[in-house]
Amino acid sequence: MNPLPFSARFARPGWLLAGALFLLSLGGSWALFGPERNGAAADADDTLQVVYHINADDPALHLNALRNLQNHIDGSGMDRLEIKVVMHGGGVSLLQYANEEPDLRATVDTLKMQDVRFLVCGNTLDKRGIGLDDLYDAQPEDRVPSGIGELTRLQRAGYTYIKP
Amino acid sequence: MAEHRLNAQDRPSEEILNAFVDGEFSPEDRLNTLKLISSSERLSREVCDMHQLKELVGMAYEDLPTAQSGGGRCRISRSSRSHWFPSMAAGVVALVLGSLAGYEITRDAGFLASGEPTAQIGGDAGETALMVRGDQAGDAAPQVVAATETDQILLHVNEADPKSMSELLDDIEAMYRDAAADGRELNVQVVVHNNAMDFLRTDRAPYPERIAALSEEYSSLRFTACAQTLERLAREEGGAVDILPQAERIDSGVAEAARRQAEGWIYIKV
Repeated sequence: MNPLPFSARFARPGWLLAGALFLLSLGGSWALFGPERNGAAADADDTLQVVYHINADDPALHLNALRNLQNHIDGSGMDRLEIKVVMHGGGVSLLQYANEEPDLRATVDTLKMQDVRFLVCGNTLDKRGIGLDDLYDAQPEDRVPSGIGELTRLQRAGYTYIKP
Repeated sequence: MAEHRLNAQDRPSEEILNAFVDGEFSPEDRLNTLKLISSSERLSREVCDMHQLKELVGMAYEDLPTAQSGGGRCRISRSSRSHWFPSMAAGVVALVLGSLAGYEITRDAGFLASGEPTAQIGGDAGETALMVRGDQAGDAAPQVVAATETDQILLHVNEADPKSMSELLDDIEAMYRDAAADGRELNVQVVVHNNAMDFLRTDRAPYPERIAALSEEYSSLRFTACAQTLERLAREEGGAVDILPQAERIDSGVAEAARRQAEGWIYIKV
């Protein structure tokens, strides 16, 4: 059988397929390791999204819970923190005790400096006749309409739920 | 009649028609032929077909001049071009497809942060983001949409005094009220076990009427009692422990809590 002329070898469909596959892999790896990969890309993996649920009227439990939270932050090694403490029912007393107890107050302050948000259930405040003034360092934006609703919303958004 | 006459004597020959189509006439002859053609419908159709044929031939041999002028060398260049052109085109298409595929893969795998912030803004934004991603995922879409359109919430109770039980019932009421206000569906399952079993016991339940009223009002609300706890209590007390008619028995409270979380339910420990 005659050997194929040079130009005819290039004309065989195998070369075409090989070229297409090569370029396909080139394009894929470009998209995988391209500029976007190293920019904003890694952030989602580096964010610690946690919600702590506190509903007990128990200052010892409050202090322990917040220490757990600090350990959680220290141990996570995450750069970005999106941490919420949702207080609900008897749990809103945490910020009332914080007015009196320096240990608890200092722990709350330290966590707030790390962007931890302390959210209070509006339903509970209304039901128990507690004002934002009665709570340590509580701002209007710290009041959420419903504690349970907030826990639902945050979990739906991907937050990990922890009940200390 | 005009048609007949034309066919009989005045019909221009093929040669003339071809010369007309090729534009080889002087303006005067051309005008005459044109008049003749327009007087017969069949003739004008014929000429139109000839025009079309000429255009098609012209298109097929668009790069003919280079081929004609260069002989052998040009024929090689033309043939090599016609072989390289499809592979180049395939390459470009592959590059584009590969980039798109890579982008989709990396985004779905969570490498790209673009979709994430919307999910954190709020419930509704998160829902739409998930639904969009669900659509892209194709087959997985129905599950994702189902999980987000209806909030499925498990309330886990294993330690409760009457006051917190009352608050739990308040919370359930508020949840259904809020969901109705937002136009969302709600599935709530209360899982009771261990030291909270009084909540559902016929002989000790502090708020049986409220439980009955809530169950009546919200069909998607379930009160479930851990069978293992009930069996333990029956052993300890030496007699069967009855639960409220609205409550159901489940095999294990802890197992149910784990199962529901694995199914994507939202978990809240009361």
